[in-house]
Amino acid sequence: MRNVNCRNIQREIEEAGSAELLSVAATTHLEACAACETVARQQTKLQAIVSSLGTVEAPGDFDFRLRARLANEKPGSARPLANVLFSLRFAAIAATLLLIGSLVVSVALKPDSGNSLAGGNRVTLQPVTAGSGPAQTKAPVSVTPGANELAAGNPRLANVPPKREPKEQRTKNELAALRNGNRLGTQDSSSKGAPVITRDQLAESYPSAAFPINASYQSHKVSVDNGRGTSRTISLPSVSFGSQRTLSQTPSPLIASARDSW
Amino acid sequence: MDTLTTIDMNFSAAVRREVVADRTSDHALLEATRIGDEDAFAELVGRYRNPITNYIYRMTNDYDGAVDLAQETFVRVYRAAERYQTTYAFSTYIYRIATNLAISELRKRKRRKLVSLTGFFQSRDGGEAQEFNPPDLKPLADTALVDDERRRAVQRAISTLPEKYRAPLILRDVEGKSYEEISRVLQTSEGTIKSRISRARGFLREKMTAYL
Repeated sequence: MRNVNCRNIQREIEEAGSAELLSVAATTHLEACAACETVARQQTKLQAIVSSLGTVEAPGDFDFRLRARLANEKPGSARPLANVLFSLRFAAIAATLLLIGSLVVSVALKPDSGNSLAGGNRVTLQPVTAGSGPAQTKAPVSVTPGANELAAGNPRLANVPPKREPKEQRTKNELAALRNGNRLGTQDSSSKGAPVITRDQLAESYPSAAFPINASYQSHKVSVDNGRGTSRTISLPSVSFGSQRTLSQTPSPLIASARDSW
Repeated sequence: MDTLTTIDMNFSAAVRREVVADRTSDHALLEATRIGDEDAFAELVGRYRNPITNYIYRMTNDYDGAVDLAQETFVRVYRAAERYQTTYAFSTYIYRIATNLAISELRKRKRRKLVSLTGFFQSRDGGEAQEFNPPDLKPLADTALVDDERRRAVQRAISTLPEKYRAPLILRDVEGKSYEEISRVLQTSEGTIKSRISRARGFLREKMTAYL
């Protein structure tokens, strides 16, 4: 009972903060209880120390610094933190885009020297029309064996509709790149087979078309550029693998010769 | 006629006094600040810079940090002048801002573990860590030195109180605010404030036993 009472009195002392503000009952208790009296005395002394802490004053340049701070914040918006976050986000996005762009450019401009050494068929080609010589060299053309070869031999076959549209498109792109000064365009033909045009296919598409036998004797001249200004012209004889020669059904002076008849 | 003139003059003087008093009230100064009167804001800063700096210093026990936070308090007052509502006294408003900033700073410090020798003496209420603060029991020659040492010990002891006890204790025993105003500043009920102040005094007395 006494402990409970002391606890209540000590709580009252702590709430009051000073023995002078205690109730009559508490004051009476303090006269009889040494422990509570000690608590009250300590609390009063502590209160006096705390009250004597005094006031710390702001420095003399407080107003000046505050004005400077406000002046710095005025030109911006009322949400500097949001501005900072926005600028950081913008910088991050810009850095990411720059990184992606640089990667794309580096991949596009990367010299493919390793592959050109390893792959025998990977060359830069600047074909020269047969019999025309270097002076008549037009825009560099990437030569692919097959349909283009046929078209080069006979202008009429140039009207044959392209069977592989993506390849044509790719060739156009490469031509455009070469015209723009990018002379390092390459074409890898090692993994491609030559297209086969059978007699039936040709007859169905162009009944009147005839394949000139002499076309096979026309050679291709290919100018190879190593990319450092050194070019070399190579004359390539016509080679056919498994092709079927088609003889025109119409009379032609070409087939009049027994030498050309098969 | 003379009587009428005298009454009139007295009335004018009374009105002038009222206008001057109203002009110098905190609300009026903030109202003037809102419409761009820089002098009014300067007057407001002049009134509260020392109390706010002192309050934050007692909360953080770091003078330079307290000055920075006091400036931040005024910046926020200036920025939010248009949104200010005269529901409570301006002192309540500015002390609330200062309290929030001080508590935020204390929590930052706690996260950064800047408080030395912490972690070993956790408070019973699960508040922030208590700093071990052994008293210097060597006798001091001068009474002034003793008092000075006691004051510094009290300041250190206050700075080790959990923030929920520290703010009401400082507002009550150092700043001399009423329970009602403290409850408004801390947005807590008056009963809770009284209880916390009582507990804070008990903690402080335990820490300061060697000096009392």
